[in-house]
Amino acid sequence: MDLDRWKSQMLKGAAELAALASLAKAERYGLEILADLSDYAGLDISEGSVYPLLNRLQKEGKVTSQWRHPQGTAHPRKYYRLTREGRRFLARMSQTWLDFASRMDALLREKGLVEEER
Amino acid sequence: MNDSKLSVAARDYLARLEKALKPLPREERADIVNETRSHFCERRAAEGDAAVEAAMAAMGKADAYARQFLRNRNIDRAVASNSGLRMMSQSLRLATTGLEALFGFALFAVQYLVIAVILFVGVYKAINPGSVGLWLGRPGFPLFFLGDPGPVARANADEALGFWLVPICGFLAVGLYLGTTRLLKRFLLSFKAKI
Repeated sequence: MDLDRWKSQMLKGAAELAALASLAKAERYGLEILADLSDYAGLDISEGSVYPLLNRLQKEGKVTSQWRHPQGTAHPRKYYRLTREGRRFLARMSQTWLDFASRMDALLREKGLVEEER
Repeated sequence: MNDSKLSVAARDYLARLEKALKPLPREERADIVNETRSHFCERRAAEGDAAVEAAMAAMGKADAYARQFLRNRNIDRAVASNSGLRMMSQSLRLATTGLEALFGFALFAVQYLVIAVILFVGVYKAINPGSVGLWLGRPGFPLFFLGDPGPVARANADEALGFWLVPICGFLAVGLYLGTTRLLKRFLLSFKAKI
């Protein structure tokens, strides 16, 4: 399916932004990041993709991680947080995304592809 | 980490993952396996064994999952080595993954071959100056040939560059090598898994 392929390519780039955004307010572990991605961003990226993505972001110096065993949990969890560089990168990515989204929105409206609210 | 509550299949998956991650340093390998185990345990605690099965299905076979962690590392190491040979061997490994990678590999292989020929001509000129050169045919004998065209052609052509051929081939080979290797780097980096 062409639509599926297009969608998956678009989401790949978005997943990086969403994962970094998920860490903007507080540190989080893999499953929480995955949940943010699907609950807020509607990105159903597979469980098989989130850890390699985090691994790459860590290698690129955008996030760091730490194992901790919070009280009341049965297992230690690996928590990720943004580095200073990651935070800067996230801010620029967000701006780029918002600019792009509003321009795309304007284009679709101009061409009559958006149904105006009645 | 205690994983005794995980199913045999899940523990087996973790063992195979660990094995497949062998090329990584021990600490990084343990980190990935532990995080995967932690993920399985969390999923199980929240939704039971079926959720662990779903997680394994989403990750794919342990080997394939491990490759997602290894692939970028192999590319990074090949690029960092600055060696055309190491980058080509990495490119060959990627060539099995798709047409784009295969064509890229073939194209770079041809480029390096051309460079080798240029270098060879330069060296050969130094050894055998009388017969090797850039030969231009005399009127009535169309010829434009780099190398040794054979005795008949030599008799009907003039050698244009003389001993300049040696440094020209040398510079050309080095310049082309550096340029090609730089392109190869960019090519390899474009194959880094984006997720």
